[in-house]
Amino acid sequence: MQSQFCLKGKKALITGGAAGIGQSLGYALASAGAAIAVADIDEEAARKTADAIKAKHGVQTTAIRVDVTDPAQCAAMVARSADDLGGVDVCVANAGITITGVSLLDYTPEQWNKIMSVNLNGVFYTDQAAARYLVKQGTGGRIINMCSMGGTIITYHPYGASGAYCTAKGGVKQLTKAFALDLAKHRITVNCISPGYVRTALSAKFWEDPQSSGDKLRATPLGRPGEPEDLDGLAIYLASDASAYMTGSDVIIDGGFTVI
Amino acid sequence: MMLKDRVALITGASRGIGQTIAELFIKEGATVINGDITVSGTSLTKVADRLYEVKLDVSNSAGVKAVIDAIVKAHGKLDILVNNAGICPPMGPNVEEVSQEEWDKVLKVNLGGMVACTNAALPHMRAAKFGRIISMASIAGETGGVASSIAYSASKAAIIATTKVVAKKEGLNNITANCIAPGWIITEMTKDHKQNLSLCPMGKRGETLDVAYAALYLASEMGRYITGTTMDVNGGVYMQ
Repeated sequence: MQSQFCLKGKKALITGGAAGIGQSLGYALASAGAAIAVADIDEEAARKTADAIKAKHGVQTTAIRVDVTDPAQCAAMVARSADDLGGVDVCVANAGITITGVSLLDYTPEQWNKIMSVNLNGVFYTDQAAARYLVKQGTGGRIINMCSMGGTIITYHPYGASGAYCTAKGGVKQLTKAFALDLAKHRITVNCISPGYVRTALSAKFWEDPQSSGDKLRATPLGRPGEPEDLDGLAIYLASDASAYMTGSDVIIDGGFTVI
Repeated sequence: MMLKDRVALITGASRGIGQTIAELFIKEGATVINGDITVSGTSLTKVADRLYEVKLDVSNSAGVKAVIDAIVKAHGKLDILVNNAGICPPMGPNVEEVSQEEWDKVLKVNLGGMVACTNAALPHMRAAKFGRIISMASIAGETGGVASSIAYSASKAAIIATTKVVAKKEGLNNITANCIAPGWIITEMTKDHKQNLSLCPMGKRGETLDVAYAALYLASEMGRYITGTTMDVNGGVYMQ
């Protein structure tokens, strides 16, 4: 790995790190040399992932249970991560959920609040806890928020648009810029990664449906669905010294789907 | 080595951002051709290990095609094209005081050069089923720059749109096309620009290497699924 992309000696915390894109990003940052704290609401899955990353890449790892909708738990997660790994340099706010197939006309307040609470408030609590720690630590840092192209367009599925999800992700995009501005003087950069249609357990239903997958693939210039590993390079770049002058950006990585 | 055995043409690589990208790409294993108008030799000349240079006036599309065909003939392929060459006259006292001559020249070099190089590279990339096209846009093309000529901002905005078209049309050929929009980077070209650093969240101008790393990401295997995008490297001056 080119030295400026090398993450050796860096400590990275990833929420929602036990599955899907979050898990894949843990492997990616570890492959560049970072120690990894896998935080997830499913503690057992987090432990398994942390062990597997350690076995594969020989880096230090730890597993932490967190419900990102609780600010106190987010603060405790950052403190635990720092204790276990000897600091925090990179925080990836990745935890998220989705509800599909529900029209905005039919959303219950509970469904709406649940999406906002995990996908937007959870990112705020995670970023804030990490930022407070990074400012105190005084060595700069990197915050990466997992957004979505749904933060820019409204993703549409044959069984309904994901209105609440996209609204929350639009919020994440603005939150990223607001944190970028607040934290720039501390040499902490804040950017977001916005994947397009990526094949994960969260989107399995979508890919199993030939109608929806075919439609989307025809509209994707690179002609294939994204895989979690397609995000590895960008995550490593944004976590590394190479991106020192990039902050407040939303980078869409979607095989060209939103090139409009 | 992130670009081992790749062949890259970087236009305008005799100085500034282009030169830094060339140095970084060579360090990462690529063979780099610097196509620059300031080079005197009109045939490909080896100047260092894995560095070649050739005189290239990007505003002359016939000349561009001849150079790119010569590169492919000599090196067997062209994997990466970095459309970096550009000119940037200063803004006059009033917007409308751009001369027709200046307008035509800036559009011809900045936009016409990007189009000519891309057009000449595409048939080779399509045949090889691999291509990475990275074009230098600018924050001026996104926000409207006032230090540089209005023609400069117009040309850079057009580069962003052209890139999206190429990305859409060539994706299935495994060719990606992306832009980098540098903010206030310190180079020979921009050293006299007066910037209000209080508007930059990171409080400083960027270095050419900051831009080169973004180019390396886009050119390498790391950037395989990103296309049609503009990456902003600007210290937070403009967040889109």
